[in-house]
Amino acid sequence: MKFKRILAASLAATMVLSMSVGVSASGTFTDEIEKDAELTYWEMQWASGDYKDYVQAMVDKFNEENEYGITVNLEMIPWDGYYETFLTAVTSGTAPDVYTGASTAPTQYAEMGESLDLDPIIEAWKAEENPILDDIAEQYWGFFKYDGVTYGLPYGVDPKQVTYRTDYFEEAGIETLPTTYDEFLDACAKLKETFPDKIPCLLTAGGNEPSSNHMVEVLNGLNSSGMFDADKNATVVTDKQKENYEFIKTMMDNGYISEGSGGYGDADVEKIWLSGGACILFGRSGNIAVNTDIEENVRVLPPFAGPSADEAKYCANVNGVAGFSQTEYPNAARYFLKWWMENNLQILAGTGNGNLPLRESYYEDPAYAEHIWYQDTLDYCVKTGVTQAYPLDSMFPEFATLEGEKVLAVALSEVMEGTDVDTALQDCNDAIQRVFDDAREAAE
Amino acid sequence: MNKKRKIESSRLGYLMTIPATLLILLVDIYPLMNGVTLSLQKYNLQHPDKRRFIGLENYADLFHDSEFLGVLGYTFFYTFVTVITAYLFGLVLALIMNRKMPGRGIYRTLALLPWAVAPSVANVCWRLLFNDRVGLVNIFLMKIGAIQEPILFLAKGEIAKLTVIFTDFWRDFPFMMIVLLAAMSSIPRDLYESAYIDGAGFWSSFRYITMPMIKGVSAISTILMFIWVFNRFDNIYLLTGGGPNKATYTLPIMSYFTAFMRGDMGKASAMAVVMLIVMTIVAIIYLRVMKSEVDE
Repeated sequence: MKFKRILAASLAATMVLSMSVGVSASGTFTDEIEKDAELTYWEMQWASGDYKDYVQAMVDKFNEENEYGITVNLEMIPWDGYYETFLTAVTSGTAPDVYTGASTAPTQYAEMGESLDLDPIIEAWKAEENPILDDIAEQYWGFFKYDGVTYGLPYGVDPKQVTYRTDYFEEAGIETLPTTYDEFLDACAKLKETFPDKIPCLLTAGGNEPSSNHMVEVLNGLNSSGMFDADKNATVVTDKQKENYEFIKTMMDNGYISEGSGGYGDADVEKIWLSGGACILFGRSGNIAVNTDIEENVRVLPPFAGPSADEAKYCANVNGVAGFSQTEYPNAARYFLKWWMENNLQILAGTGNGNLPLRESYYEDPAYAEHIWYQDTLDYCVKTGVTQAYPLDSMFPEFATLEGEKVLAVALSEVMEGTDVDTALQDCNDAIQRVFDDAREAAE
Repeated sequence: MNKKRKIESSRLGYLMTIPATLLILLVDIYPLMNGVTLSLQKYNLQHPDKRRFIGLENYADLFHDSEFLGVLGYTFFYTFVTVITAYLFGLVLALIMNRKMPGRGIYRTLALLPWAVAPSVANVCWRLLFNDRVGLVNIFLMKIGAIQEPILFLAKGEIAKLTVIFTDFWRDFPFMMIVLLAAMSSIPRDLYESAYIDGAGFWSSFRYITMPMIKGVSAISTILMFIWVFNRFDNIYLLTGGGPNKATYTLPIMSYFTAFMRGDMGKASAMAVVMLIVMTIVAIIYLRVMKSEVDE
């Protein structure tokens, strides 16, 4: 009897103790949400026009619905100078609570100790067996991990792929779509013969946009080739990369890509593609054709394999939503981010958002179901794509430099200027290695 | 009594300068000192906890870096060529505009337009104009038979280096034209009349009257333009982003990428200080020229 009393008292004490430190039966962060919190939410200008209204409507809905009195204040951030905007805010202690931004941001700021740990959200989803965990392909969940902790939630993808004009292919007599690099070159030859005034394969490798990096990311996915390893060393001088750039060089030498591609920015490519000046668009998202005159004649080319590919894949440039650890209301921020991930269809579908959803169920929405390009992208990119950090599973801080300074595209630029492939690969290898070495030196 | 009034007047004068002085200290001197201090530190934004004083190590690294030296060399080349071409073209236009002719006012206004157009707008237009496939420049040159193949204005490194100089020259010559035109307008007409009576032709008048009379203004305007062009960031960033393959990197562009892409504030500040030293030397020359103008 005495023992039972002691046991009962111990259990009661344990319960009281656990309540006093805020751990209840569910054991997730949702039991510890700060009430009446005011959060600042920075949303990137993912689309022009009315996009802000869609986001504001979603924010208003959250403000109205949530039972904790949390108020979210939306600020739209333009892409111009976005990097400096965020960096300045973080280093000056004025970072927002939650944000969407560049894909490198969560891990980059995690290295600085500024990112909000989001594993509690994953734990909450697991506890409630939320279908979202299966709705997003497995390879994306680890993308924003740094030192084993999740700092971003993957929600969107900017697909980097190859699209083609079905009408031009038909006119050129290309009945079977290419499945290898050699078959792709054959298709380009037929297109060049049939349309001497058009560019068989349009790509961008210039300007101050990062599109030239995306070209490289697509090649890496198609030939299962990486440019760095898990120890952050450059691995560009390989047979696989040589195959990629010999492929590019062959296209240059045969006139399948324009000599001026090295200077093309996004605006040049869009103008040429939408005016019908090219037959294939390489390394860009095909969304520029959606809701245009050419949409009906544009399809995604199924990934075609390089000579050494294990399995050809396109690149799914993942984007995420995240928070900063400077927030005064970490659990309120997590609560909003969890709700955001569960309710973001309204800012994706039909809003012109440059992101496509990573959630596969969203593609049943009419805004996606009625356009073949979205369905193609779901099949060839979203479900099976590699991320821009391939062959690594997660994003890493140095990637911001590799992409921002277009270091990944050094070999591409040099080959397009006529440098031999071996020299170009070595130069690219050296440039990437230098970035890693500088980062190591900075950490000492 | 007069002395007392003078002292009070001086004191009042000094007091009146305090707000402007504070503003200059806050906006100019403090950031300057902060930048110089940063240049003597190892400071990476990704690792703010590792910040420490390293003396002149950043400068030593820069001057042992062949990439930096190459960029410095191109920055000087780009600046000198832009300034000289803008000056010469501005001078020619000023000579033409200085003559009496119908519609002179309209021509002067048109000549000023490049200066008035926002750099972001101008560079978007230049990118499309210089496109090898759909750009008007190549289409026009091929139509008149001047070229057989399109010129890769932005795709080939060596050509891109000249393209950015051209776009800068286009933007800057109106300033030169206006400044030199104003200087020419102040030259007394009777000097030219006397020279004409003595048998001097156009070139003699230009050499012995016009150039000496605008010498001071020429020196000042070229020095000022040197400072502006050397520091310029927007044109190249918007047109080529420093590419292709860093071919059009200048010191401001390199400093920007070092600071914001690499997070290396120490090294980026060292580059900015190198720019400051160059500008200081140029500014000293400018002040000496101004002084000699005043003395004359």
